[in-house]
Order: sequence, then C-alpha cells, then structure tokens
Amino acid sequence: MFSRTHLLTASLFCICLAVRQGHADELDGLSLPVQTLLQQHCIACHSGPEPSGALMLPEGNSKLTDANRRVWEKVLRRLQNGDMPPASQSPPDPQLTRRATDSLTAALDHLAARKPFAGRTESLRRLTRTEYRNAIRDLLAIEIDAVALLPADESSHGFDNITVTGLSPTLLNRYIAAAEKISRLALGRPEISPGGETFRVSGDLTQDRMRPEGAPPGTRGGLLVDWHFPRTGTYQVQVRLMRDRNDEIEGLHGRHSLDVLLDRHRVQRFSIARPPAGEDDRSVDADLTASFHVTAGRHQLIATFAEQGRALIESDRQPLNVHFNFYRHPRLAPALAELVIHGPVGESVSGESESRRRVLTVMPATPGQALACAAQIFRPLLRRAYRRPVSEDDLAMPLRLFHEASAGGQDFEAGIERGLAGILASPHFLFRVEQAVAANTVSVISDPELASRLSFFLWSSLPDEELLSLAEAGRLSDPTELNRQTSRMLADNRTNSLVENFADQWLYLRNLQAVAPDARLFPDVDQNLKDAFRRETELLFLDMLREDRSVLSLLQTSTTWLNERLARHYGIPHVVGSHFRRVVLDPSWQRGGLLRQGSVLMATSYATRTSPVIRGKWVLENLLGAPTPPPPPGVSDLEDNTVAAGLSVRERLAAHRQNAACAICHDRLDPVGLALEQFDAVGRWRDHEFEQPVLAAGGLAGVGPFVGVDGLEKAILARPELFVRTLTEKLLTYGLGRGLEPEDGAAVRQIVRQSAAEDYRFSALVRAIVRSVPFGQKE
Amino acid sequence: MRGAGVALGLPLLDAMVPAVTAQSQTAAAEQRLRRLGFVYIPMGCDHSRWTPADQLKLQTLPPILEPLAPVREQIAVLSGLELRNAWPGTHATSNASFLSAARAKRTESNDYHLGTTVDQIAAATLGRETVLPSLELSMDLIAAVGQCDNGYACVYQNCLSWSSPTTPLPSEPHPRMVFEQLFGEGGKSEARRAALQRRASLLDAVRDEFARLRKTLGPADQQRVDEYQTAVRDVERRIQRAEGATADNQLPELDRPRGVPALYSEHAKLMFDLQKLALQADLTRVVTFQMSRETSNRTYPEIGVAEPHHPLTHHGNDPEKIAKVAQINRFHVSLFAQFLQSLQQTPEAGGTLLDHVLYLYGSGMGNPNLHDHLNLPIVVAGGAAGRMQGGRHLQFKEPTPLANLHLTLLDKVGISLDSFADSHGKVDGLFEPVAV
Repeated sequence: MFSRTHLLTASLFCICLAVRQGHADELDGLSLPVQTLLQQHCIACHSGPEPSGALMLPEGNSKLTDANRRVWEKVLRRLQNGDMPPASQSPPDPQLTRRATDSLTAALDHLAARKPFAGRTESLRRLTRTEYRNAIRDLLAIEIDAVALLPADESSHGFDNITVTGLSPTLLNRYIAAAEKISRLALGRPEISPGGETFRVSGDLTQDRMRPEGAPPGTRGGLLVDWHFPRTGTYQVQVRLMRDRNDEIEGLHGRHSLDVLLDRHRVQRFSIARPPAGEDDRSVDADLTASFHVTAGRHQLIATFAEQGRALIESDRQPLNVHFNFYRHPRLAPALAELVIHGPVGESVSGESESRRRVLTVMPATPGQALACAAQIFRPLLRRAYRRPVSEDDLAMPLRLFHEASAGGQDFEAGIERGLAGILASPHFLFRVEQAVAANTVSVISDPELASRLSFFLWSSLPDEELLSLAEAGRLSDPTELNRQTSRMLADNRTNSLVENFADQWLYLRNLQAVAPDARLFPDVDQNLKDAFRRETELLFLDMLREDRSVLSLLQTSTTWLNERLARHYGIPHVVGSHFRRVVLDPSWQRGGLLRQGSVLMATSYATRTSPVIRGKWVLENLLGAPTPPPPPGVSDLEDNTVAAGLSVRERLAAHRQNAACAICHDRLDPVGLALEQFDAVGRWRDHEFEQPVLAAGGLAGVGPFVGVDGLEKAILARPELFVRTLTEKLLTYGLGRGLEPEDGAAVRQIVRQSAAEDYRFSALVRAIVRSVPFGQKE
Repeated sequence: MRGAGVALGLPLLDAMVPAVTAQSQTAAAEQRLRRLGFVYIPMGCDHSRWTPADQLKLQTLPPILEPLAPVREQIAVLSGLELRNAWPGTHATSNASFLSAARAKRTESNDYHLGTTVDQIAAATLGRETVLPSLELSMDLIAAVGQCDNGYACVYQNCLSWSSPTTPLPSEPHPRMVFEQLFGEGGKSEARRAALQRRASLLDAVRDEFARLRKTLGPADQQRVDEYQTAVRDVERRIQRAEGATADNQLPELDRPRGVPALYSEHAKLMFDLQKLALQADLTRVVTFQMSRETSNRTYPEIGVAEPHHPLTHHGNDPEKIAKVAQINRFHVSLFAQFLQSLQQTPEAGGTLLDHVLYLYGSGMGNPNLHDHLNLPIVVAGGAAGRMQGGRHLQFKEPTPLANLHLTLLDKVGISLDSFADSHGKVDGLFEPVAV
C-alpha cells in the first residue's frame, strides 16, 4: 500500500514539474483532456439558463485566471473525489479523468506559485476558553476550571476557534471577574475570603469496578480533582453519597470505608454503614467533613472508597457492566456524588506556591523601591502574556493599578495583584492581534506573530521563552530554525492539546457526552463506557503523535488501547483493571483503526439503532473531504416515517433511495455507512439483526463496491492522498482559525505532497503546514 | 451554617446585580403583579385533614393547613382541580405535568418530550429584565439518570421546569451554588463596595487599553474595537447600578452558605430565604422549588416520623399511616407558611412583598394511595396587588383542569394566552370580589 502511494504521488509530482517547465502562456488555457472531459461528461448539465448546482462550465477553449481559479479548484475536487459526474450518469474513462485532473492540478499549482493565496485570517481574535485556560496554566502555574469561569465558544467549520471576534458585555464581565479571581489565587494574600468549589460526579458513572485515572491501587470509585489552594492553612472537604430515585443512598450494604486523600496520602477515613432504625439515609452522609492542613499551590485531592474485593454476581444472564440504575442494575456498593472544598478556615499564611514564586521575583527592601520592583515583576509577565516585546506604554497600565492598590507602595503584594489583574483583563492578553495588511496584498507575518500562530496551533497556549526570544531576534522565520522549533514543540507535552482540542473536535469526540443510547435496548452503557471510548481514540491519536507514525495508522493499526471496561464491551479477554494499556489485536476481534472504534460508531448512531446515513456522512466529511449538502427543504425526514419499522435499516434506506431527490446524495452516503453495519449503535460487533444475518455490502464513489469495514478501510487507503488532504484541511482550519477557501487547494496539495515524501508521518504534515503560504503569510 | 433566623446580607459583589432602588418602576410597582413562584410537594396529601370544611369563606383551617393561619387572608385553597394528562397514575407524570399540564412521552431515553411549563412561559416575558430569567430550586441532590418510574426517564421525576418540550431545566439543591448564582462571592457591604470600586477601576484600565490598541489597527478593526467599547460601557453601567444598590439597600445580611444543612427544615428555610432575597433584590421574577421529590423515602425525625415518606403514602387506609402522611403534609405547609409570613413582614411599594408575588403551592398527585391526579391539593398565596381574593376556599363541582389555574396566573402577571395545555377557561372567583 505504501509503495503504491509513493508511486502515485511521485508521478503527480513529476507531471507537475514537467508542466512547470513549459511555457507560461500554454498553461493559462485548459488542456485537451480537461476540455474533452468537460465536453463529454459535464457540459450537458452545467450549461444553459439553469445549470445544475448553479455551476456554469465554459465550453470550448477557456482560460484559467486568478478570478476563476475558485471554480476550477471545486471542479478538480469533485473529479478527484469521484462524486462527479453522478453515479446515475455513465462514468468517464478513468484514464481520461486521470489525465484531466493531473493537468488541472498542474495548472492550478502553477497559478498559485505565481500568485500565492494566503487567505484572510481575522486580525483580532479572542482566545478560546481552552486557550485561556492553558495560557493561565503556562503563565501562572494555576489550573483553573475554565468551564465554570467562561462561557462556551461557538463552533463553526468544525472548530471553536473560528468565530472569536465578538465581545459581549456578559463575556467581558466574566473576563474581568476571572482576572480578579485568578490574580487573587496567584498571590494568595490574607484578604482572601474562605471560598471553595463543588465538584459533582456524573449520575451514570458506575463506581463499583473502577478506579479514577490517577487514583492509587486498592481504591474504588470516587473522584479525583486538581485544585489550586490559594493559601497555606486548614481546608475542609465535605463529601456526599449518590442517591437513588427514592433519596436513599445506593448500594449501602455492609460497612464501607471512604477515604479522602491529599496528594495520594490519606487525610481522613470515614466509615459508612446503614443508619440505625428510625433514621433515614440523610444521617449517613450529613457530616462527612474532613479538615486538614494544606500548603498553598496545586494539590491533588481524591475521595474514594477502599476496595473490598469482588464477589461474582449471580445471574442467569451475562451480568451487565453497569451499576447505577435503581431498577435495572442497582449499585453494588455506595458511590460518591459530590465533593465540596472550603477554606482556608481560621489562621492561614500565603505560603510559597509555584505561582507566587513565578510572580514575586523580587521584593522591595524599602517602600521607595516598590515601583521599580513592580516594574521588574511586570515586564516579563507582560512579555509572556502579550506574546511580544513590551514597551513602556504597555507597562503604564499595570503600574498605575499597582500604585492605586498598594497605597503608593505600602502594600506591595496588593499592588502586584491589581497590576496582574489588569494584565489579565487587557485586550492585549485576551486578543491575538495581527497587523492587518493593505487590501489585495500578501505579506509575510512578523516573527512574533509566527510564534503565536505556532504555539496556539500546536499547544493551544502562549509561546514559551525560547519561541519569544527567537522571534524577538528575528530568527524564528528562518526555515531551518522553524523546522527545529516545530520538532521541539511536537516533542513537548503541551501537544496534548492537539488530542484534547483538535482531535476531539475533528472526530466528534466532544459529542459523545450528549449521546444517550436507549436504556432498554442498550442497558450496558454508562459514563465509564463513554469515557473509555473517548480515551481509546485519544490514545490512538496521541500514540501517532508521540511515535511520529504515519497519519494513515489512524485508519489501520494492529494495536489499540483498552481497559477492562472497554475490553469487556468489545468481547476481548484478559484485560483486567481500569488503566489503559496497549493491546495487540487479533484480527478476529475486528478492532483497530478509527472506523472500528466505539467512540466514532456510537457518536454516529441514533439512540435506538445505527444510522448508515450519519456514519456515511461522517466518513465522507471527516475522512474524505467530500461533504454532502443538507437535505433540500420539504423532503421527509427519514425512513422511520416512510417505511415500515420491521425492516432492517438497509431495506429502509433502499426504499428511501427510490426517491430521486434523495438518491442524489444518498447514493453516495448510504453505501459508505452500510459497510459499517456489522457494528451496532453502541459499537459492538454483530452478525445478526432481527434474526437475519447483517449484510455489510457497501461502496464508495470513485472506488466501487466492497464489503464490510475491511473493504471500507481498503477503499480509503487505496487513495491515501484524499484522507491526508482532509486531515490537512482540518489541521489547517484549526491552525489558522479560519474556514478554508477553494483557493487554499494549492497549498493543501503541496502539504500533502511534502508529507508523502516522508510516509505521511504526522510531524512531516505539521512541518509542511507550518511552512505553507497560508500559515506564514496573510492578506 | 446558621439557621433560618440568620443575619442576612445582600451581597452585591457581582456586577450583574441591577438596581434595587428603583423598585417603583420594576417588579413591585403598585397594583402590578410581576412575580410568580411555584412550590411542589410530592405524593399528594391526606384529604381528610387538608380540605377545609368551609365553603368559600375560610374560617377554620383544617389540621394540615393550620400553620397558614397567620396569612389566612392572603391565601386561597382550591379543591377539585385535576391533571388529565398525568394519567396513567405515576410519580413521574405527577411531577412532570404539574407545571406543564402536558402528557409526558413514555421513554427512558433522551428522546423525552413534555411541554413548556407555565413558569418558563412566564420567564420568557418576566425574565427579560432580570439577571436570571428564572430560578430552579430543589432539595435533593439527585443525579438519577435513565429509567426512574414505570418506563419514564428520570428527567420527568427530577425536573419541574421545562423551557421547551425537550429541554428540562436542572434544579439546584445546594444553597451555596444558589447563593453564588445570585450574588457572586458575597461579603459584607463595606467589602462589597470596595470590590465594586476596584472592579470599576479595572474597567477603566480596560477601556484605556482598548483605546491604545485601537490606534495601532486598520479601519475595519478600529470599528470592531468601537463595538467592544460599547460592551465596556455596558458593564460600567451595571457596576454603577450595583454600587448604588449597595449604598441604599436595607436588605439583611447573609453569609455565603458553606455546605448543605443537616436538618431538612434548616435546609428548606435557607432555600426559602434565598428565594426571598432573589425576589426582593429583583434578581429574578420566576421561581420554582421542588420541596421534595416524588417517591422520596425521606424520613422526618424532626417531627417524629421515622417511616419513609413514599411507603407511608401507600397507606392502604391504615389510620396510623394516614396520620403520619398528614404530619408530613403539615410539616411542608408549615415551612411554606413561615416563608409567606416573612414575605408579609417585608414592606414593599406601599404594601408587603407578599402582596407583590403570586405563589402556587401543591402536588401533581391527589390521593397517593390510589396514585390519582384528581382533587389535587392546591394553595395560591399572595397577589393582593393584583386583587387576589384571599381567605377563600374555592371548590369546583366538576373536575377542572389545573391548567385553568395556570392560565389565570399567567394572565395576572400580564401574559395573556388563549389557552394553556388542556385548559378550557380561567378560574373564576380567585381575583374578583365575590359577595360572601
């Protein structure tokens, strides 16, 4: 497969070179194969007073110009995807299509070389909630709960960092409140009032056979939180237990030990048992409050139960994995519902947190030195926060706030706290600012702008010291240096954001939380399974990133990551315990790449059944870059309404496609999704549905018919450049923070070509993106 | 946490809090009703001790309603209301249809479907001018998901308020979360004022920074910064209003609650205190409060009932069990009565706070032993500013939809609908003077 890929791209590359050596004048005209193809297969529909899809194609000799390249990029994409001409028409000769797309590609690339397209990225862009959280972490060593502090960002083009130009009063108000809160936490001054936070556990989390990720062995269930304790002093932690629909504590059989652990050391053990007769369950957890001493800074707090060993569940049937529902599958042991941190109570001191160390780098010996010390503190903070060299003008605002709040330097820390709040509320921190360029010109972005583009792309956070220094020295844009920095950044743990921020959005993993399979049909689904689904896919992506594998390994891999819960769901034996580990797969298990993972399969299903339509749409959109338009208005919703319910989904869809208006898109969508029919709505393998064998015959436009997930994977990998193109487009959209235009096609093709030369390794893709025209330039 | 008599302090640290001073133009304008509250009690009642013997004019209150004696002239008891759409008699549908009067789609999955509830219809209009369009409170920390009662999803049993037929609103049982939702972090009035001033100066800094940024930008981005400055001015106005409010407000003091009080009555009183504060400060004009959930197995040792509530209500006509159900019914009423009294003792706009709110108290189940939805226990309180006629017992001869009452309440707060759910008219005699 890989060698085939090589040949294909290599030949593409050669043609491209050959054409470039020709005469410029000839290139502007469309080549003979293109004209022939258009004449024979396209013009009939795309001409006249009402051309199909409002696309009018030229007849005869026509010229490719800067003005119409948008149209030709679209034509090229449809031809490459194989979805034009439609399946109902006679297909063109593959050789002809090939020659036409090759020459069209060459011509478009040549035009792009002469007239690069950089695209317009907004020059004022607000940090997203995730970026804000990471920036605070990197700047002040404070982990904040950004979800509680800031509203969610709107998503467009599949990502939440695109529509970020607005600033509503509510959002501004919350930014200011957040700035005050964070600066208070960072300094931990005595004025801080006892505060705290409430953490809740999802009601459908089975806590019987699981350990939260990071909790020590020998524990069961509960919750793990990382929290910034603002001062050194005494804190109280109150826990409450999960109740059933009758307000009774669930699973309260026998005696249990509930432990509160601080940094994995036990600070309190509670004994839990049934209340004496005459008292209701309220008395059991009315006062489970632990009091203990904590030093300022970030600590890990765990509330969990001591593991008591397991009894076999006696059941006539295969026991379920889930235990949270009073009627169907009750909890076998008590579970944690809520954890409240409160404090500091009583005497407390500021202590020496990492945040204070980072901020208070100097202290004035006399009040006379206060202002100078404050300036010394603010300068590096401003530089990191504003991501560029700072001027005296930048310094004026925090110093003014410092002066105001410190009573002329008397209360030094109060002044620093205010100045810091000012920096965090400043638009220079909250907004990424790029200098706009004159209309219709393309120019290279500045080195500090490049540093931010890099760090927000790869880390979803601020540039670090090294990037800033290089940018200030004007050396970051040097190609060798840029390459070196990209490699360094990829090796850094902060690229976890590419998993949690990019992959989660690209692959719809964020939607998993909202999926709720029908509890009668699929009783064996709980929060644990959803978490495990998400984790498996994240680890697949993370492994590709860390081991620098080919991006094609996302689709085809011989190993995966499992924990006991997920392995049981998949029917894979001998995986014990809550932690994820790499498992070498037996082909008969039918697991592996993205198309075989429960996350994707469940996120693309309905509550009661699979949806080949949604699955097909997901594959076409996210793996092949061939989206279909939404159904036209007035078309009846779906097969449930129009066709009898006793039929298999396949039969219902076939009836649906009888309607010509539906068939245009569903002829493309359905066969792709139908190939995945052997996975049910919660991602389990099945051979039968309604006592009939499941048929997994499918097909893909431009490839032809095939069977099952094996066939679909092969069909996608037969044209790896389409998958890589799609991933490139997704990464570029995310990295630039703008939707791509058809004119970006040339840059995308160049990235794909360059990464092909390195076996489509992830790092090759990223490095090619970073040195591409849209990433390094603007217009 | 201190009990109900706590010193209460309106902590207006959060700049979201609007002016409380100009109440004459807002919720409490004379002869205007603009606030609605709903309190839910589960599993019906013992009718023998609930239903007043008096026709029309309330003179002696039956045992369960006796705690309402101090506010007798501000309440009306309604007998004979029903919820047809709650059948077939279940706990889930009792709760779900109480404020929606709609039929719940029987499902355990997330394709649940009910109807927009009366409080949310009110909130869509009344909530436009307040910080929170509505406030949803409850007493039980319930995270129950999936199937709860006879094939009905747990949301039907957990959620009283639905902002659309498919959007159940979660309710908050934790006093501290409610407090922070309403008031931010709180604090004494001095500290609050200082905090607001600090925030105002921070905002000045932000405005200056935007102006400084603007100079470096092109025309299109300059225009965008001008839009941001509008947001800055808006926040500035909110802070000014809040500053004015802290200066003038005579509200009592309340520390930020810490945990959940161990005693049911203390917890409930705290939740009522928070409602009062929210209404008084005009932070919201619509409140729902689920005092206990359907099928709750809570015991009430405070009043000597050691048996769990739900099994007691399946009393099988055992007089001892019925007496205990009545005890629980009376206990719930007594907590509501204390709340009404405290509203009555708070002057507002030439009357009392109670005059300017309209509260509906009741259950979606009638006789719990039968699981029926007939002759629901219902009390309407307050509303004198809208000419509510208190001291009444209205008895309907024919079973009458509860939706008729919802329609009437909406009408009284200025929302006029032709019908609501299965309503077939308004409730006569509640607001009109009737010769007694």
